[in-house]
Amino acid sequence: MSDFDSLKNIWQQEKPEAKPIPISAQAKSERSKMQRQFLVGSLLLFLTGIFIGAMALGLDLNFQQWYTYAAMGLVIAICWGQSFLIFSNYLSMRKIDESAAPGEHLKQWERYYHLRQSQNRWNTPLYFIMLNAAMGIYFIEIMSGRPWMNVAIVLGIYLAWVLYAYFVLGKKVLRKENQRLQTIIQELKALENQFEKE
Amino acid sequence: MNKQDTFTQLYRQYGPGIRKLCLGYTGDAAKADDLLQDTFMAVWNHLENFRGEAKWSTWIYRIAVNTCLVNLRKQKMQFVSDQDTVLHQLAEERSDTEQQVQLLYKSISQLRESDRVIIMLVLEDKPYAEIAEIIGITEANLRVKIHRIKKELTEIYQRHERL
Repeated sequence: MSDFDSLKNIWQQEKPEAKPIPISAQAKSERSKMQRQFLVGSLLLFLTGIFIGAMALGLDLNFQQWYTYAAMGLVIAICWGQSFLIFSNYLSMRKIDESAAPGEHLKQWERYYHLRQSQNRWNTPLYFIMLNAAMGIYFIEIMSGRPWMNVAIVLGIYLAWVLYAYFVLGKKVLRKENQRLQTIIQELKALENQFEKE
Repeated sequence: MNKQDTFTQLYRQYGPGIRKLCLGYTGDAAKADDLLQDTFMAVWNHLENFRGEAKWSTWIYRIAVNTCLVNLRKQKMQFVSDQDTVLHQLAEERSDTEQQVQLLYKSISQLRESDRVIIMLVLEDKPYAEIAEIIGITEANLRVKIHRIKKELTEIYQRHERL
């Protein structure tokens, strides 16, 4: 046996099962997971900004210098900016049309991953520089008048952690993420080629 | 008809066929159910965008094909080896027909992703014009592909059958 018509008979012998409608369970696709991560990440950063703002306005902080409040404002702006960026990634992913022809659909994913790749290049250093500039300004008043040894210890620990987080942990995560994105882009290209070539 | 009714009707009509497509693509019932669920969540989310330019079946099968392709990029290699194990375990327990079906799933799994999707639509007896519309290629191009895939699938199946 086993010319193609026989294979078709075999295929059609198996009757599809009728399953209940999947209405309540959460979607399990990678896309749904990423969308949830974006939404949660964006919301958490937005709330962090609100929390810092509430502290600045609600608590009697009694800072003497305007630039200390400005530094807090800058941290809030950075949190909200980052929150907006993450939310825009969520929207970009939502825009991907699942009912487009497969070749076009794969291209849309490829464009999305290219966008993420380019964001990674500028966003991480910018976020690092801005946040630490804000923290630096904030520390001016906080540290003034304190024993120099205490200042040196606090700043030393802070700087060591920040530099380690950026140059060791951050770079490692970024390298991994870029490799992951590059692999996905290559796989998508390979799939696109399958639909385009014969 | 409201959105819920339309959705329910679409699920009843196309759900079983889509599940079979997902099962053929993954070879794994649990993964197929996940893909079926993701497909119909996308259908629910985009139901308002359906403008009637294509048939319902074309539109839904396109979503299913895209869901399969994007979600299972990384699992293809794993699938083949898992399937091997399962097939060997089941070979002695199952009837001839069930074994043939499993062998066919295994053979399909060894095709390229795009070929898997195309051939399953052919096996489902979808008209070529509709398959071409689902896949987004010309009918002439599709015929060339189908000719090649049929030959390839038959050869793979025969090879497994001999073993």
